Amino acid sequence: MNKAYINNVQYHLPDKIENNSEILKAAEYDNTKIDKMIEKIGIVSRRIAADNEYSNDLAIIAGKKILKNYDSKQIQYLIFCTNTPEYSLPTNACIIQDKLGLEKNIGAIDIILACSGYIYSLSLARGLILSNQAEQVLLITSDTYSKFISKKDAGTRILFGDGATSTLISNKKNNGFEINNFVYGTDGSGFQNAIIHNFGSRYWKNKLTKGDNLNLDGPGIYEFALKRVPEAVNVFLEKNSITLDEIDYFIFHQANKYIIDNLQSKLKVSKDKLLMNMNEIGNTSSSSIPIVLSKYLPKIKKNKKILLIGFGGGLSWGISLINS
Amino acid sequence: MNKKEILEHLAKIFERSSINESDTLESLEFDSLILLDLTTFNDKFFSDLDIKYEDINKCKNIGDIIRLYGKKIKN
Repeated sequence: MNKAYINNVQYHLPDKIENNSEILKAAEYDNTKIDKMIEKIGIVSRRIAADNEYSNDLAIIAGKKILKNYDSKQIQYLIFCTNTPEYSLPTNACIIQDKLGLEKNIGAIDIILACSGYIYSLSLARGLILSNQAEQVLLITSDTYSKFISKKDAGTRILFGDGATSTLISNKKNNGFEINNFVYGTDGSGFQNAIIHNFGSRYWKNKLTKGDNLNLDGPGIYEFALKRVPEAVNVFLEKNSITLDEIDYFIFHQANKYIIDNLQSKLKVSKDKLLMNMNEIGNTSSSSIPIVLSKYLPKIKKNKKILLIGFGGGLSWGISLINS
Repeated sequence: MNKKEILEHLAKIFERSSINESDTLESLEFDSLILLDLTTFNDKFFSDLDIKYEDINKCKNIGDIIRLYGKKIKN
């Protein structure tokens, strides 16, 4: 039976750094509890795309980082995951295929998903490989949430950062990690919890006031994560006949430190098993898990199990296990 | 958990040495972080009640919050 492996993960962040102090100043934020809030969310700065820099631009740079040491002719499928697409039409993956110089006889699709996007994209890549439709899949994630968050909305802006990642998924192992099973979850009743109203066709000709910006119901997302994520982790463990103690590392979607701390506490996961990388990056949506992977994969020893846990807008969640 | 223990937990969440049922949330400087902490508390101790954060937002004082726990409060 075929197997699928993550053989390389790279990421790219835009140059511009935005510190919390700049966000608070721009929003004329006056709250004596702000230090406590910053400590709880665990994000001190983030990278922000330039005015003329969009999600495809970041994606192309991230893709080039993988292709620097890899023959682009070997790529047979391109998956591009974003929630802040540069275009609704055409498919952005088609543009990226051309800009990366990938072959023309390949598949290329966009996946519109937020913070669970990497898990779902990974499952699709694995499916393509296991079903012999592709041997090498390039998965790119990229988002520029900063363009959709008002500078007056410090409470939301302080959470997010822009960034892109690229992952090479292959049918042969090359110092990589085998992709194992998945569990998925969806609850569209919470679709209003993270929404940009004016982005799609519904309000295109009758735009809502403030509808150009991300409308985030933070407590709603937190409530959902605290309920659904531990449930889903336990379902995954049961379905795969493994225990929590057998997992060596956990990579949660890097929403913010407050959510992860409480998920860790509820699941009773040892803190030293958490892999994190958000302090100077922020929540980069579907890029957050691969950004952590990129930092830690080269350092992880053989025969280790890593649980990847994505959750967010949709509402959508997904879990996958990878083995070194 | 009895009412006294709930009040002790709530006092910690609101960062007060003690708290009374008549204390208004406004006077206790209720904010979004406290809302998240209350959501965590409810999930930990009263998850079967499925209290939504919107229910907390409707509360005017500590007594209103305690009433959310209804029959779950031990004597």
